[in-house]
Amino acid sequence: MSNTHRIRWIDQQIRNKEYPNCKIIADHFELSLRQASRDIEYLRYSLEAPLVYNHDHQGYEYQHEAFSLPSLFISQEDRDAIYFVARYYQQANSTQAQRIADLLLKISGESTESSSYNVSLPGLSLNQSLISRYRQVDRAIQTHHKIQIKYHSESKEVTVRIVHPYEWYQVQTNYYLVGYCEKRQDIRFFRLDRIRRLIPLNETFQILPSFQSGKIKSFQLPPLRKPFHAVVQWKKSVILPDDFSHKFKQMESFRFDIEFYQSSDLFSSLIQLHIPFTILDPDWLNEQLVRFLDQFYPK
Amino acid sequence: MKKVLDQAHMTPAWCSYAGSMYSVLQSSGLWKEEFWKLYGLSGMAFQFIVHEDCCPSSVTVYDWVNGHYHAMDRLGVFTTCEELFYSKYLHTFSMMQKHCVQNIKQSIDQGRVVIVWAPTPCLEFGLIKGYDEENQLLITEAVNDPHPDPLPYDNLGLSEVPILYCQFVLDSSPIDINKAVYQSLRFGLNEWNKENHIQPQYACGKKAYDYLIQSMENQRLNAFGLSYILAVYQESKQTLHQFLEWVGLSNPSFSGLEEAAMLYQQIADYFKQLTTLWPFQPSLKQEASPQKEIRAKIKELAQKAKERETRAMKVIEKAIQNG
Repeated sequence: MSNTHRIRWIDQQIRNKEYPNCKIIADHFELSLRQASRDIEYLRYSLEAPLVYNHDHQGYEYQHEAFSLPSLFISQEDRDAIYFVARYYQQANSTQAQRIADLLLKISGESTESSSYNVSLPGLSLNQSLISRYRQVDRAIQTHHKIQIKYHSESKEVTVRIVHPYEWYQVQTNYYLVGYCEKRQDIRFFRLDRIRRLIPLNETFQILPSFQSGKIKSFQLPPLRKPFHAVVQWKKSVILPDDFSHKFKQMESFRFDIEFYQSSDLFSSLIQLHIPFTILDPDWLNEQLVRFLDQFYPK
Repeated sequence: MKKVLDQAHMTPAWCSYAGSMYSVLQSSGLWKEEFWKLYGLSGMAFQFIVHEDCCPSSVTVYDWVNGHYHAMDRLGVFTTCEELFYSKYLHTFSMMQKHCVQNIKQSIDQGRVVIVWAPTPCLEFGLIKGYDEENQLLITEAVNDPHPDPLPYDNLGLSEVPILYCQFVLDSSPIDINKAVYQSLRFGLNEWNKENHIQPQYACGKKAYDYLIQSMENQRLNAFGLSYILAVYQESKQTLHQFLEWVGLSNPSFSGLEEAAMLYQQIADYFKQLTTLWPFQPSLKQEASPQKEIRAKIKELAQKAKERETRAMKVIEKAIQNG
């Protein structure tokens, strides 16, 4: 039973001087009292109906008869869908898209203040469960409320986690929630369509000071390209710091296999250790090192 | 087995495709004249595309397959290409990579460098000038780096904008220079008058000026993109001046083009002023918005350039009709 139908029924009851109240509504539609009171709130605040409680009749009536439901009555589900579409358009890098976003937000009854996620517009999926999950997460992002999610990873592992949702991130056609995972005690990406269940929690959170939205690329998903591997040797035992910006594997006490995508990044990281090193493999990397150093120590 | 064509080097040019073309054709002996003449005769210099927010992608959003084929064709060069947009849902992407690598090695063995999209992290066209079969690496060169890291075979086409694009030079035939000039001018005129570009957020030709001018009122103006676009098109407008001057002097079939050449000199000067007002800086942030006074000045200069180029195109149209 949709919200539209109930609202129309309540409106008709009021007009017929039946003075419906939350219990009558709940009994009629087999709802909880809480849901019934939400319908009353919706009628009063979203549709701006002049509702007053008549104590004599123990039910609701209209303060003045001039009110009528809008001819274009948008249910909560519709509002969620419109809001979802508006958010998509809001994130497009286009003036026209922004205008459409503002218009849709007004229709959905939301504020037109935008938070820029700086992602590009993909194809649109209007899967209802995806939309309502998106809406729940988005609300939690805005109000800084934690959420509990049941999540299916790519390897099909199912976990239940409490997440502090920070913002959205997009790669190709997929939306990812970026947030702090209490289970892993670290920032993680969660693909929206892999969130199977979501429970908003009452607890709020603070965004980690070390998290910078603009630097989200440092957390980015693995690049499409495969990395290079360098074998680097030092003359003495070395412990690479925890925040060393390349994945590494210790081969022997003085020798490491280090993953990198660009040689200049690797050289910068190695030089910052202030410990002389030798590159054993690949050969071409030594030539690149010479060129890199030439920039700073030209002949 | 390792083979590198040491004689081939990337030509520094704001239009990286044109620079790549020049490098490929020069190194294989198929072009022996100046860069500006190639850039003009191929028609590429007439390309003028602007995104509504001046996104830096403006310069490269067009039909690469047909556009580059025709550009080479105007020079009498026969090419083929492969183009595939990466998607993780493709089953055969790696097969396409292997197919392209095979063709690349064959081309290198025949002494011909290959044009490729983004062989390095720099999102521009570049060259593949060698390969190292033992280590499965392609030796590349980019517009901003003569000695970049090699590109593993498995990473071909997997840049930040993952489009696998390779163009191979196969053969050439002599051209009738008058016909080639006609085709270049005709292409330029069509580009100028085009109503719709391949994507609605982008405009080309005279409408590109409108987007550039309107973007000055736009809060979402991409500051880095603006600086880049201005630099690229300053080069192309300057090239068109040289090209049209040469055509006017050396081809009596196209009379009246001296006036167009002169107008393009003025247009190039306006763009020079634009690049001085808002110079290219690689580290410029997208959000670093030009101030109101600079926007007003850019708008003014763009309007003047548009007026001049409109007149120039009328001259070109007349010259084509008379030619």
